[in-house]
Amino acid sequence: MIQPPVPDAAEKAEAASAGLVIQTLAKAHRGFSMYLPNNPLHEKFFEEFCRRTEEHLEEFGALRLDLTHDSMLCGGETIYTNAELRDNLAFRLYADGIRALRLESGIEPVELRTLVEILGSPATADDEDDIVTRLWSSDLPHLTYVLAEVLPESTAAPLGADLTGSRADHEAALRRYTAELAGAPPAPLLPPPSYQVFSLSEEEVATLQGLLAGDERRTPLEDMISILEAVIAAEQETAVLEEFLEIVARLCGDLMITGRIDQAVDLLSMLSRTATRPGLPAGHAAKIGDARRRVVTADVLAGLSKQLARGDGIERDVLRALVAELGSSAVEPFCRILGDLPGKETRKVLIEALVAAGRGSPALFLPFLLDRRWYLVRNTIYILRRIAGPESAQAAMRCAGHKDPRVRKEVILYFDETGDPAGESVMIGFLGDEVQSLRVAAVRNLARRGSKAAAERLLALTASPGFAGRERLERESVWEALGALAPDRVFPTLKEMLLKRRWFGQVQEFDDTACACAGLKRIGTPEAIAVLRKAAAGKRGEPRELVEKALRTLARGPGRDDRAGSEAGGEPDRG
Amino acid sequence: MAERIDERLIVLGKRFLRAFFVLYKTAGNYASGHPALAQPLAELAAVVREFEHRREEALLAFHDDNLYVGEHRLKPDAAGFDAFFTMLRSFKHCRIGSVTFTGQAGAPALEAWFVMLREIDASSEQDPCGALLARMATAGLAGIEVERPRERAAGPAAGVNEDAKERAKGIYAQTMGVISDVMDHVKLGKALRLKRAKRVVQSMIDQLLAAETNLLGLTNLRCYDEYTYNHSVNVGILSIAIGQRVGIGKNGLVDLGMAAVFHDIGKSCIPISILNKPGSFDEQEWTVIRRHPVLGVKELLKLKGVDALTARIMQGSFEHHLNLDGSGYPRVEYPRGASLSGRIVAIADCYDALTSARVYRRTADTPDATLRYILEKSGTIYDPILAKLFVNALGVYPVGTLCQLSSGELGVVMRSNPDPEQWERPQVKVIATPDGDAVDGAEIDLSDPDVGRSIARTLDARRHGIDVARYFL
Repeated sequence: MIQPPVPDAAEKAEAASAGLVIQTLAKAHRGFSMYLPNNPLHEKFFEEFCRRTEEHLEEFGALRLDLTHDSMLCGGETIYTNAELRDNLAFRLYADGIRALRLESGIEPVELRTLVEILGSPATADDEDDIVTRLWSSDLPHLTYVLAEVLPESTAAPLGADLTGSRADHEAALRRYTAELAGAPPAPLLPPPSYQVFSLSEEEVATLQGLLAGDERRTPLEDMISILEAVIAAEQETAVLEEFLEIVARLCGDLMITGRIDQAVDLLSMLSRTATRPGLPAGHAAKIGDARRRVVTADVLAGLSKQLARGDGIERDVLRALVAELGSSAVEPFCRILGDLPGKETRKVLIEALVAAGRGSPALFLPFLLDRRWYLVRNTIYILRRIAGPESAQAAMRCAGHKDPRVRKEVILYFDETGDPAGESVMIGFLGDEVQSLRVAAVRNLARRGSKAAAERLLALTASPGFAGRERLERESVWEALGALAPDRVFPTLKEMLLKRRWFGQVQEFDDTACACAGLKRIGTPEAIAVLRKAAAGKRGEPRELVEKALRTLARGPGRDDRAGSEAGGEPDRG
Repeated sequence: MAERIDERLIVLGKRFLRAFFVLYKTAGNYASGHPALAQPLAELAAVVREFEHRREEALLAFHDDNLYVGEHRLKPDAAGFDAFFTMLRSFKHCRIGSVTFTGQAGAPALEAWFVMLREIDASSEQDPCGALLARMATAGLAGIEVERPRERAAGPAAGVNEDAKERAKGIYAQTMGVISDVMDHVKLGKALRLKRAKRVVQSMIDQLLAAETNLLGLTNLRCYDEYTYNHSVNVGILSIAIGQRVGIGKNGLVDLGMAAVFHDIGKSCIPISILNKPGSFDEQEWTVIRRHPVLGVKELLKLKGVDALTARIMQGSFEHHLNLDGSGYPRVEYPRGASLSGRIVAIADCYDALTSARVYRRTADTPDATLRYILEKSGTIYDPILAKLFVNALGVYPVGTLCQLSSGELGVVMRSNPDPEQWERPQVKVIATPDGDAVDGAEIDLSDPDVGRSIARTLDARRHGIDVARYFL
């Protein structure tokens, strides 16, 4: 077995010194990532690195490092390694293709600082901004490196004389040509144009700089999109056009999966613009439309869902724009995503986007009313409420019996906001709901509707044995509704409830006063006001405050204390 | 990120050169003491102060036909074209190696020095630099140091040049290799990885920024078929050479280089039987050939996806046959018009294609004739400003031009004269005696009066099967 050469003392000393340099480099690297630039440790570590490097270069002329995937070597000796690859400096350099690094004597602190900063920059997956490119574009004259990609052994065959013809043929050609020239006197050589012809005028320089600046302002993606738009609009070969559209649709999906939704939106916008270009060849618009519809596949949906669930880095405007670009074809897939989203903010944005995308197509949402997830059903009803249509009212009605009260509440809000006539029977149905808040909401809705059918039901309710046992809030709402729906029939009862004198039972008096005030306030006739004034004079304490408050409300005019007003409007939260 | 070292020096260096040039010009137009000199003097003094503030030397040097600020070679770009070449010419003519200003040099000393320089420049002194130094000593100018040019070291310099040449050949070969790999991937429908290509283009840029002659010389390796990808490499080199003169930054040059080397990526979708068909194409075949810009876009989109680099390459592919006046192909409505990269690649592509005898185009034009064609078509097919810059990059007798000298010898242009006023006097390698005997002659500088030769006519190398590329290998 061949033994590796044993390093001599000088080599050992060089390796030991190099090891110390790399230790300080690692420390400076950590310092840059852990501390702000104004932290003394940030600079302290860096200065140590500079000092140690300078000492090494003074003694050994250069710092020569070979790299393996996890180690740095100097003269064949390992001087640095780190089992944790994420923090391993050698790995960062190696992964980008650097196989050897050399720091030359004369290196300036600014070069060392750039090196530390580049090592600390986040790793990127693309070709654009890796360590090699950053080192290369930073112009570090005293830092050189050897790359795996351009090592001599990885090159193509070297250039050689085989690329030219044989020497004999060449010499013969020279003789032939010279002989031919000897027979033909040279034509007078045209004087070459003055260099002034080729020097640029100030105007040309300005034009060129404008062109350069214009190019720099444009993003590469904008350029790519301009090209694709031109190609897709003009392509005459059906197969090529379809292939282009297929690729663009796939790319849109890939961009969504990888979180580059803004770029996907740009591509989709390009397709939209192209589809509406005047003079487009026949059939193009339809093919483009098909491609747009193929963008969101099951895989894309899953990937996008993950992206949105993470909620990081996706701007709301971009999400909104994406759904808008996909239009009604976004409804089905994005409703699915809506069911999986944990983040309330993202959900809100998506709901609003779906409202915009689904306007005019409520039927697309209806399948999601049957979903087993109550929150998706509720969000769907919310969306339908914003884009209401006849078919959506029927669908919402079917959800009135949903087992989850939060869905049933959304149904009430639906009919509250849309005012759909079908809502009356739904609301009457809710009067028997097991949840008090829903019963109250239904009562208020029926009051606003002026529902005569509801009046009879509510009167019967007040006469029922259990009514007195219900909470005051509910009873108040019923009396208030009856004040609106059947004022003449409930006035005597309300009057009696308010004026009846009780020597004991203060709680009962407060409850009755509150309910009567609610009803009389709603009736609002002079007779009702007179009753309230009389009660105000005869009551004390909290009951009196209630009556005076009712009178103040009436004095301000109708509708100023309308608790029965709409409660709709907010975005539902799945809770 | 800390400010890049070169960036700040380059910006200051360019400002220094501009201030130097403006004062030089003004001193030539106005007598000493004229108020018109005040502003240029103040600007130069401010630049010198800025150098001192940064602890750098305000040193403008001439060496190896290049101008340097400190140790950094200045690269001519469109905005500083006149300043660059005027001062290059003046330093060369006066045989000045370098001039350094310090803060000690007040306005009177600077003014006096520039007046001296103008006078020496206009004179026919045998030793202009010596004369300038003598006048400076007499006048006792403080804060200004002039040095004679550094002598070119004979042996080691040749070694360095050989190394640079070998490096250039390595880069050229590697670029052909990566293009071949990428094209194979496209043919097989495999996902594209462009990292290695990007690295090679970065090396190409480094080489062009350091010494572009070697790589420009290799563009004389022309392809006869579509397997070798010489054309793509050549278009890459020529495009970067133009882009450098436009003033595009290093990262922008990478994008441009990538767009250029992969401009024909769509040809990987065209049957090789058509591409390598001997003789001319019929109309149907041309129709197929003309699909390659669009097919390139499709393949890039399919195999690479959406990212900034792909978008830049796509521009090269899609736009390199779009003409400035809207003609060309593909025939599309493209209101944005060809990008800067697309316009540059179009010129480089045309030049290399017309100077190559490719399979479907057996005859090649001479480099100078091709340049004339590009200039004729500038404003309609090609961007006129970029066409001018292209000539600036290649000179009126581009590297690789076969010529007959006034002595009857045959020669190949090895290096353009960096002084635009001496473009017709490039460096030429003598390859045959007046009798037609092949020789491995020396490289001669036709601008050197002692050489006593000039270009009598340019020749069509391909007509007799003379391959000038051998002189660059």
